[in-house]
Amino acid sequence: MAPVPQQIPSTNSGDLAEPPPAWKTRLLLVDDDEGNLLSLQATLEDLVDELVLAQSGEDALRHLLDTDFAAILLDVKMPGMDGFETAGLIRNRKKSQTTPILFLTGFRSDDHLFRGYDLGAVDFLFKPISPEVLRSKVAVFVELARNTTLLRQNAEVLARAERRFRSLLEAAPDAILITNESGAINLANTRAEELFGRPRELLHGVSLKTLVPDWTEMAQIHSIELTGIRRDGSEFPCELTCSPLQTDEGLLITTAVRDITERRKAEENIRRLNSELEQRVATRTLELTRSNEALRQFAWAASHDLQEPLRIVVSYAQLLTRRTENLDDQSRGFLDTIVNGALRMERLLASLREYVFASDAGSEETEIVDANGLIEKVLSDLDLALKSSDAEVECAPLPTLTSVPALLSQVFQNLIANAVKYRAAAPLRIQISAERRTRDWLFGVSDNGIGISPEYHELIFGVFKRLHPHSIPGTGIGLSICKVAVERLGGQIWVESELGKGSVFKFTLPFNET
Amino acid sequence: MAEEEKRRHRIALVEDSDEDVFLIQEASRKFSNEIHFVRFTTAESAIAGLTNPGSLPLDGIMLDLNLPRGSGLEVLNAIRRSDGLRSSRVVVLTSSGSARDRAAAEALGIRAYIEKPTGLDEFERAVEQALDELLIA
Repeated sequence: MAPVPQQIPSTNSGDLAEPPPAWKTRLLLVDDDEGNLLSLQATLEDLVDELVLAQSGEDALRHLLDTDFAAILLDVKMPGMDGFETAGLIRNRKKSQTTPILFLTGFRSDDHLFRGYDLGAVDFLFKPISPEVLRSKVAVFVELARNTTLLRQNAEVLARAERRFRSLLEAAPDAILITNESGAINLANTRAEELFGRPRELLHGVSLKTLVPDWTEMAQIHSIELTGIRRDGSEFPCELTCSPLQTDEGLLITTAVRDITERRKAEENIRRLNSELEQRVATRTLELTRSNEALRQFAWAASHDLQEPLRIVVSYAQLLTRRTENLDDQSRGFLDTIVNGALRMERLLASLREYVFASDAGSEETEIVDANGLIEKVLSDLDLALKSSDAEVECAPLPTLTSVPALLSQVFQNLIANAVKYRAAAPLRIQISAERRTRDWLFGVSDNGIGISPEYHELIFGVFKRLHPHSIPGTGIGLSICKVAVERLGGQIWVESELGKGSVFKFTLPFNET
Repeated sequence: MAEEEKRRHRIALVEDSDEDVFLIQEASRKFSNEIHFVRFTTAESAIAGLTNPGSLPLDGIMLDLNLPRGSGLEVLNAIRRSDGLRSSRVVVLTSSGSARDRAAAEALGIRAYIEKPTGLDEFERAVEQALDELLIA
């Protein structure tokens, strides 16, 4: 339940300070004799900020309507209302009930004195009045008035601060309990009343342990999650944050109690959603792995099963060619087309098998491979093609590394075969290099062939992506096999090339710590 | 005995593909006129026929592995278990490129494992190589 926003009274900084400059020390001098008044004025005017002169009781009372005085000097003997009568009326007024009254009189009589004190006089001064005595007595009351005002103002500031504090406390969204060291509650705010189902009067003096059984005096640091108990006995999860404060009255602890039922629910929801998500991901991954595996097996089987009929087509077409030596050139051409078509199909199937093999997600055993020996074998396998294109192969010393020999062979074989296929008019030069880097090997196969325009640099690694007509033999799978094989080995492959400027195929193989 | 059967060499040919049988026969004629093939088209019939005590002696066996209702390896197994045939010369001429098949066949003992190549000339060379292993080498 959201707390009702409360109006927090705006205050000044609340510092306990000197009385504001507006406050002035004032004296009221009441005497029917103007001469006396002036004389008093002369004696006292430097003691106070303001001197108010009145020549009658009525006058005095009128002044007292709107002004506060530090003290009143009252002549007893006045025509009309005398001093005593005036004093009585002064005392009747709430405002001036406690204003110090000093009677000025020439009359020294016990009766007088008695009556005067009875009326609340604080002192009598007998004429002729000694100025020094007068001054010292008045000074006392001025000081007193000043101090009283100061005290009152400080109390006012304190009260304001207290009100502000309480407003903040009440406006707090969390239940706030202020306790002593041993957990006995001194103060509780509205939210605390709501949370624990008790009015604050009933919470006073109660131990925090009653509300949060697992609370200990040690739980005075930071935040801790415990269980709170409502009045009806039901439990709820809560978070306690304690701050101790050393005061003159001893150690006070402010404890904020937050009901985290909602938060717990949300956390639980998230946890549940996460685990559901993980579950779904795991299931999906399994499905994908299975379907991948199924596809792979299908591709493998298909490529084998498709091979057979092809072989028969080629063999019988060639048989026919042999038997029909008298056939016209065009018909022979037709037969050649049949054979070539079938042979191309066969190469595609072989490439498909290579692709499937290279992309096999199963763990292929790595071993220590001497790349020099590997390259020798590849070059010897391609010997016919290399010789017929008059190619010169320059091979830098290659490293011995941990890898999968079959895949590595496949990559080099395809790259070198490509160099042969896509050679230019100039005699073919192929260079094979290897560079040791911080975290991997960087291999390079470069040629001086026809090159590849930059806009195709990524395309060529896609399956069945050929840039050239069928006059240049090729399945369009060779480079995608390289890519899939290199990536299986943990590396990356790319080409640097421009049309007419040859090509450099580079690939990385990360170091394999065995 | 029929004229054919008087020829000097008898070779069992376990092969289900008629097309391949024709090609093999064409190729063998180039090699020698004296070869007589005893043909089996299934593993079952091959095992039955070969292990039959009444069957005539053979100079060698040419075996395809991809057969209907059973595999050439079963035939090979049966051959190696039979007293009379245990030491026969066997060449596998098959379209299977499986390394597992190759290893299994070699474990049972064969003269050669030849994958049927595409291309007529190549096929003929393969048949010649097989016959060489069975009859001469």
